Amino acid sequence: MQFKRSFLAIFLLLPFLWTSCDDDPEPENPEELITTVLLTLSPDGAGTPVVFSFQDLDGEGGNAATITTDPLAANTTYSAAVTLLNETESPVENITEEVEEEDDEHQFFLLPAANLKLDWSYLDQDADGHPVGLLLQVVTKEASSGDLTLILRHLPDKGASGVAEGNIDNAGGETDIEVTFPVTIQ
Amino acid sequence: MKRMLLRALVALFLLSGRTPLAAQSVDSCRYALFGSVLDEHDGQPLPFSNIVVEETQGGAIASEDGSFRLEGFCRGTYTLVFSHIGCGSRRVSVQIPVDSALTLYLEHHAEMLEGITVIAAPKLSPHVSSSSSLEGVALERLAGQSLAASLSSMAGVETLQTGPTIAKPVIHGLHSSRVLIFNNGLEQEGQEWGTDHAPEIDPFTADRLTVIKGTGAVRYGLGALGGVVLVEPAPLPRESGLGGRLQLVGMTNGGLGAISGRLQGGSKKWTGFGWRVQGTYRIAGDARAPEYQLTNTGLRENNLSLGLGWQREAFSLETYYSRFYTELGILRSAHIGNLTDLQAALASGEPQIVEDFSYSIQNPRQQVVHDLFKLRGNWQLGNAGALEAQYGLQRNHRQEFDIRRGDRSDIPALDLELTTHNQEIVFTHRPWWDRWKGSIGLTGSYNRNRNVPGTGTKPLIPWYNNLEAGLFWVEKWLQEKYELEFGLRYDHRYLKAKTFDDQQELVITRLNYQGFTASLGGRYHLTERWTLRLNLGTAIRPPNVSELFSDGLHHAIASIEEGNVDLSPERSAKAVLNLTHENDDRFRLELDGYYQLIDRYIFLQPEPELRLTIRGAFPVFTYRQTDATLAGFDAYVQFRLLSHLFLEGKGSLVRGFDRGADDDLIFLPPPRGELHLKYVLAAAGRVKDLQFDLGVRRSWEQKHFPEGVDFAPPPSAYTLLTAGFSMNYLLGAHPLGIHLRIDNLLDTPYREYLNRLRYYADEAGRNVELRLSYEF
Repeated sequence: MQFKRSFLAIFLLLPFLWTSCDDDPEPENPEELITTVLLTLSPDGAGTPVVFSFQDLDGEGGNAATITTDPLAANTTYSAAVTLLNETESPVENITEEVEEEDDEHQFFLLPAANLKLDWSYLDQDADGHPVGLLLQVVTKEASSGDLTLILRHLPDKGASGVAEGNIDNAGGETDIEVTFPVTIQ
Repeated sequence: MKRMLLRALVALFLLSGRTPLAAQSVDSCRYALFGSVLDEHDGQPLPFSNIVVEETQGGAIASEDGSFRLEGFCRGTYTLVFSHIGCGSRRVSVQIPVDSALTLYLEHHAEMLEGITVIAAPKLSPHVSSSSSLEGVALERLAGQSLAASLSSMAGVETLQTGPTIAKPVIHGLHSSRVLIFNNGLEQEGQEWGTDHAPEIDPFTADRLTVIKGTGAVRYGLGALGGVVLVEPAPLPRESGLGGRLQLVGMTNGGLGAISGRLQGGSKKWTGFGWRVQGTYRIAGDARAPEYQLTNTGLRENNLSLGLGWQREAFSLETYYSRFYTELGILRSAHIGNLTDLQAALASGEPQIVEDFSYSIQNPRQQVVHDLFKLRGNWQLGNAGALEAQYGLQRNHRQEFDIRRGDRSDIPALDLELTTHNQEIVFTHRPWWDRWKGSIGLTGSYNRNRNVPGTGTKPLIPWYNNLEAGLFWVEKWLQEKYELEFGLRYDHRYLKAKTFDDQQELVITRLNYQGFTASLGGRYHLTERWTLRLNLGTAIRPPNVSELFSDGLHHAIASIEEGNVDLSPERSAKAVLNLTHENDDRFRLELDGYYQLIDRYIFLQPEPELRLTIRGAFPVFTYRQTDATLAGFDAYVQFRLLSHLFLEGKGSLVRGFDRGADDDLIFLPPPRGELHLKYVLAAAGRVKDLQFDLGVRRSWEQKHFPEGVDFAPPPSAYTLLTAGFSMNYLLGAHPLGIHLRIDNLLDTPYREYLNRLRYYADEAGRNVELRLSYEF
């Protein structure tokens, strides 16, 4: 009987043991966040570089992204460098370095719309001799305009047919970045 | 010489006030034995036979029509003594529960007694609601599968899958938070809101799996809109002696291997003391579809459970602890970056990444540890009734590992720790006027969810504390031919969540939900074999934390899901009509028809605009509410064609309507049917339960779905063949079970509408499964 009573008493008292510890969570820092993609196009020889930028400071949700471009000159050869940033960090985190360290697992692709008259090719390679695309060459032709899409694939099949030449069709992998810039060549 | 034919059917007695608490000890003492005594020559009833139970010294006198009913049996062996004026007496040993009906020939002279014929017959369900159970050999034949896969062998139960390893039950078209799962009398508390979160339960612990398809909300609490699943282990032994069971499972597809063992015993010194230790190890590598390997679909699982019990006449105490550990690979090709990748996967029709078979599990993968502790006491309070009290503690630690940049692959992208305390006190009153049985109970639970820091990702689910209290009352009115049951419940839920806004400022949200639920049910025994059940019940389900707060990208389905903090609770009213024909070897039937109205049904609605992100454009889905209707039926039928040859059929159909948008509901199971030809031999020498089974399973195409919401149309219909052989061989006194089964006999490629990874790959192909079990 004694045992029964004490058991019941424990049972009835249990709810009071549930006093919820009201700790506060710490905000988690999204480490892999890329807020900004910069494509810096420097004309060969002399001239001012042109910068295309895609900036989405609050990540996937929230406010819309800001896209800015400047016109490219016709019949010009540009060296293009891709820069990836996480601007929510202070100081700003350069994600380009992470891609450089894992360059065998990453590859950029440029997809110009059919009416945008330009050619492009890779200027860099990983340790296996496959292109990476942090450095690109862009050669503009006659004046035209259209969309230019920059894609970063994580874990692509770099050996697949056409991939080394910049054809994305057989690349596979998953898309880490896909941004589209409206471009004018004049 | 006059002979009597005695038909004794053993059934689970109609439980009164059955709560999860009552699931074990009380349940096990509520079997009833009933039947009738007939003259073997002309089949006429023999009135007023005398039946005595030796162990309890209880008994009954058969009525004028020869029928009798005895109640209050526990699991165990009983000796019944039948006698009739002009006949001798006959002692019959009965093991309760009985797997089959007994036909006993009683004769005038004891020395001329003939044999006992055993015919297959089902047991009566203890639930007034429509329900199905799996136990005994039927459960052994499914060993080694996931809980949901085992349950899906019942009509009306489907599985919602994420690849070959992750599955959860769908009852009457509803799943996840709308289905409550009770693990050994305790509500399983994991991250069940997630469609890719399988219940963390080892099916090898179960002696019986029950699905209550009707209206279980009053007894089982908030959320039971679809139904309730009960995973019940065998009662702990009470007598001294050592026993146990060993099960081995091997499957060719995925190279699955499972070993599970249990050891149990009682004590000679301390009467009523019993214990059990049980453990399982399960391993599988990559499953194989007919045309390719499903890379990274392996699993590891190891589980341990311990039970201790002490039963005295007016008092019993039981404690249980279990640990479940699982590591699950998720199809590598299902991890994609954005909508373009998904469209590319759909266009190619094959998984992008196919590697050779391997047991290794890479990212993406899940790792879950679930600890469960239970303490339960039961006291007989003299003439007043009985009091039961239960305390449960659960800890669910879920980690999900993603494919990440940098050296972050070993850092979980999701790391959630959910702690739950459950408490229940239930008073069951003694039967009033032998007609009223019922109980009243108080339940409480507290959940504490925390994100383990350091994931480097925005948490999918916030910090929250959830407090719930409920009060319920159920009564059952018993009559010879029918019984009525009613129940009433009140629940209150208080949810406090802490999230962060855009400026990383802490936002505290406090939400209160409350409401009444009620149920009314009846079971009418039209004849000894025909039973009609009707259940009406309401249920409420407050929105879960995912529906309220989720905000982020789902990688496998390339979509952004946004929670909605303004959601109000779903309210459901469901009617289930069930017609059963049982206790007859020649013909069995179980027919369920249901109609359910769900007001403020919570669903994901696509937003008209794609969201442009740095990863590309994504569709956005927001949790919204509409009024929905679900209706359907499940059927099970069995005919005896020849003496040992049976034809068995199963089918289910469910339709769902969004009354708000005047459209179909998405992701409802397509119509299905199954046909089996079985050769069954109950006993022949040392062989028992012999069965050959040839089956065909057909799933039709889902024609009813809302246009423009899903990424791909529902897959086409498919037909699969299965073959099985199963028997128990008596090695001395102990049965050795040998079960062989071939699933998808023709290696047919197909895709399943309710598999979330159907966009990427086919279902698994042919699988040869061998199961051995030895009980001692």
